[in-house]
Amino acid sequence: MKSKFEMHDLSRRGFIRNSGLVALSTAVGSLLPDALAGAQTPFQIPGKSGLVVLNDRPINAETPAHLLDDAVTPADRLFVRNNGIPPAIEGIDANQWTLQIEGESCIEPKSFTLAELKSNFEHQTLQLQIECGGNGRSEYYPPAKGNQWSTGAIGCPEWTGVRLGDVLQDCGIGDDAVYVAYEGADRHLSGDPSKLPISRGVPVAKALEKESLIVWAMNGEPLPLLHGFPLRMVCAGWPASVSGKWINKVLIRNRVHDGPKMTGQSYRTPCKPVAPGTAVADEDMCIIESMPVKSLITFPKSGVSHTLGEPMAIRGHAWAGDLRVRRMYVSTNFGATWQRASLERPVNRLAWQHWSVVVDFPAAGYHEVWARAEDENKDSQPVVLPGWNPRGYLNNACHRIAVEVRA
Amino acid sequence: MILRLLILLLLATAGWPAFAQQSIDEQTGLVKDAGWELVRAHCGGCHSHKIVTNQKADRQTWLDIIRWMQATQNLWQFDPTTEAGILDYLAKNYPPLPNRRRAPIPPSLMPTPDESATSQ
Repeated sequence: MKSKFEMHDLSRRGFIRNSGLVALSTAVGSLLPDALAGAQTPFQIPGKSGLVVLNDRPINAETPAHLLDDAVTPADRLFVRNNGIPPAIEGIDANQWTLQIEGESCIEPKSFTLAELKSNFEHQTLQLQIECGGNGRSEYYPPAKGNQWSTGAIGCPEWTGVRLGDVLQDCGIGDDAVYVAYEGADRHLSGDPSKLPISRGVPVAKALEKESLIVWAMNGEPLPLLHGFPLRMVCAGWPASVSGKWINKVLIRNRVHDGPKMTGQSYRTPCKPVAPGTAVADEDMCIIESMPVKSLITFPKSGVSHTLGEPMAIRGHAWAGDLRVRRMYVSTNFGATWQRASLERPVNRLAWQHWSVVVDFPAAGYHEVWARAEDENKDSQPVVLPGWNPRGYLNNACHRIAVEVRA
Repeated sequence: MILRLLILLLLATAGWPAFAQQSIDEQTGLVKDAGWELVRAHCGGCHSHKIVTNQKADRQTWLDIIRWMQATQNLWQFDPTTEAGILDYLAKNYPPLPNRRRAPIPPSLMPTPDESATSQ
C-alpha cells in the first residue's frame, strides 16, 4: 500500500509542476494538453496513478495488470482511451448539460437536461466492464496501426445513471429503428470544428438491454472529465468505443450508424478469417459486437520471486463480453496441465467475475502462470494469439506472469 | 551479482555503438536519424509524436497510415520528396519486430536477479 501513496504523491507533484495555466478547482480534475506544458517532467495524467501513457495527445493510457486488483476499478486505475480532445471542464455546467434524442426513427425528438434525466427516470447502479476493442494489439504480427495496448485497457467500475432504453422509449422508437448512436462534445484532433472525432453505437436490441445505461456517476462520484463528464453511455461487453463520452446527442437511426469510426476498417474485423498480413477490403470487414472471453492475473505482479515449498495464492478477474464466464483455469507448466480456479458469480450481468486459486511449484527455477477463462458457450482463451486482423482487435490470448521460484 | 555485472556489461557494450550513432530527440522522443526533422514537422500537428514512436510498421503500412490520415483526418498532402523522406525514416527506424506468434513476457515483467519482492 505504501507504494500506492507514493505514486499518488508523485503524480500530484508532477501535475502541479506542469500546470501553471490550469486552476485546480474541481473535484473532477482538470486537463492540461502536453503542448501547453512545455514540460521537462514526464507526462502525468491528473487523477491517475501508475498508468502507462501510450500517447499524450490525444491521451491514451493503460493500467498494469497488478494495479487492476480491486474488485471495483477505482477512477485512478481506469484506462483512458480518447479519440479526440475532451471538452474544457471550465465550459461545462453539469446541470445545464443537454442531451438531444433524435434521428430518423425517433418518433418524438426531445431534449433533456441532466437534471431532467435524473428526475424523470428510474436510477440504476451497476458494475459494468468496459474494454477497448484494441486491448492486446501490441502482440499482433504484422503490427497493426493504433495505440499499442498490452493488457490494461479494461476496467470494471460501478456506474450510476438511467437506462438508455427508458429514455429512448420516452421519445418513441419507430418500427424501422436499426441502430442507436451517440455524438459527444469532444473535438477532432485536427481542430476542424466540422469533424467529429468519433460517433459510434449499437443495434437497437443491445441499446434496450437493461444494463445499457446513460450515466453521470462512476463509483458514486461525478464522472471524471477523462471518462466523459458530465454524461456518457455505457454498453458493457462491447468495444468500449460504443460507450460514448461527453454525450450531447443520441440518435435512433433507421440504418446501421455511419458516423466516424463506424465504417471502413475501424472497430471491424474480417468477416472471414484471413492469414496474417492480408489486406482486406472495407466491404469484407464486419463490425465487432460482443468482445471475446478474457481474464487477467492481478496478483501477484509478474516478475515476483517465490519460495519453493510454499503455496502461492493467485487471483484476478475474468469477463466474456455479453456472456458469463463459466470456468477458470491456471497452468504453471506452460499449458501442459491446467488447474481449476474458484470463480465467483458476477455482482450483476456484464460485471467482471473474480477468481482465485492456490498453486504449488514442483521445483526451483523460472516458471510462468497462465490464466485461461471459458465462457458459457465453452469458448476458451487461446494460449497463442487469436486470428490476426488488420487493425489488431480482440486479442484475448491467455495472460501470463513470470515467477522465479527459489529454493 | 556476477550475472548482473555481466548483463550490465553486455547491455553497455551492445548499446554503445547505437548510442554513439543515433540519439533521441528529448522533446519528441524521435530517433535523430536522416529525415527526423521531417517527421517532427509533419507528424505532430494533431497527435503527439509518441504515437509514432510506439508504432511499428513496414514501409507500405506506414504509407497506408499516411493515406488514411490524408483521407479522413485532415492531414495535408506531401510533395514526393518529403513523402519519400518521411517513409524512409519511418520504415528504417520503426520497422516491425521479428515475426512470431507470441513473444516472451516483456523484460520489464521478468524476475530480476536481486528481486526482493515476494508474493506475500
